[in-house]
Amino acid sequence: MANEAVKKEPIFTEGYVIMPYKYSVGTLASKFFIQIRDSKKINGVKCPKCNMVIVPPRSVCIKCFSKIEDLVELSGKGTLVTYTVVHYDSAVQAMKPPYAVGVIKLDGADTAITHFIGEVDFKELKAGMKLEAVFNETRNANILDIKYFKPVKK
Amino acid sequence: MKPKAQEELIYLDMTLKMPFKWRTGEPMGEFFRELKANGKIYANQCPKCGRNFCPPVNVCTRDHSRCSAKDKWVAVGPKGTVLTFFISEQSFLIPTTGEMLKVPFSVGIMLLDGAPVALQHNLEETDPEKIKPGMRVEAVLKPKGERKGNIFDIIHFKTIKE
Repeated sequence: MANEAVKKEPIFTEGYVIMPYKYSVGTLASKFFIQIRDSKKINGVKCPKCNMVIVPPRSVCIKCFSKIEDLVELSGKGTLVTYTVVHYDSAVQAMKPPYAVGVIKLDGADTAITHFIGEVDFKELKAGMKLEAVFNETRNANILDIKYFKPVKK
Repeated sequence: MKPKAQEELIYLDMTLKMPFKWRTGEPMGEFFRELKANGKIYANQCPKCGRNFCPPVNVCTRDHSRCSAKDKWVAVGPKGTVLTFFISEQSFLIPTTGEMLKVPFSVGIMLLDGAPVALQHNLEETDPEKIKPGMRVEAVLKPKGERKGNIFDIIHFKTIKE
């Protein structure tokens, strides 16, 4: 037996680290997601002091730290700031590659959100292109209720 | 900010499931290779003080000498003697499989034949009236085709009459 240990294949134990958890989005973000789920409307917030429009909503302004309580409705249309096409496949990927993900500045907002870009040929992706949100038929009050952003047809 | 009455709050209910592949290193790899291929249980021996370890160790717990796969191995088991045991009624989520552990389950520490070394593993018997320290047990292995090279290749230790 192993009285003469020879160079052999290493042994692996395969398994999972499984963590069930429950995350509370908060009162303001709850309103944001409910509006997406029930009315297919994307909202931001407008700071009452410095007028910065932030999306996704925050209850504290990122610029002046004032308290924010109300949502403002946005059009769901925006401009692509930057993007990447993902080819790398792993078990923790959001989607099966290849897929495009971009930073999108919604019209009227001062901040940008990250989401998938769909219904587009990857070669046609260009910073500055106009996009609009596409919603899922079934919505569960989370960010994936927005299926992706697609180019606005001229 | 207190929510007004009847305001719906949103929660994200998620289960993060990350696949892992843990390398055993040596000498543990050698231990599992023998278990998987030949159904044999081995203990390794500290080259300095001769203490036996099952499952094997990299560093002797007595004098901290380095123990490698090239040092002496001693065949142990498959029979042994129960030193002590416990039985649990408490189930919990097994992190590596996502399933709840089947209860009741019993765990014994068995002094294995062949070397003064004890192994902790499941016992087949879960009735506390039927388990006694000093009781003889024997390892029950999975059939060769089903063995993966991990400790569950030994299913449990069954009670034998000797």
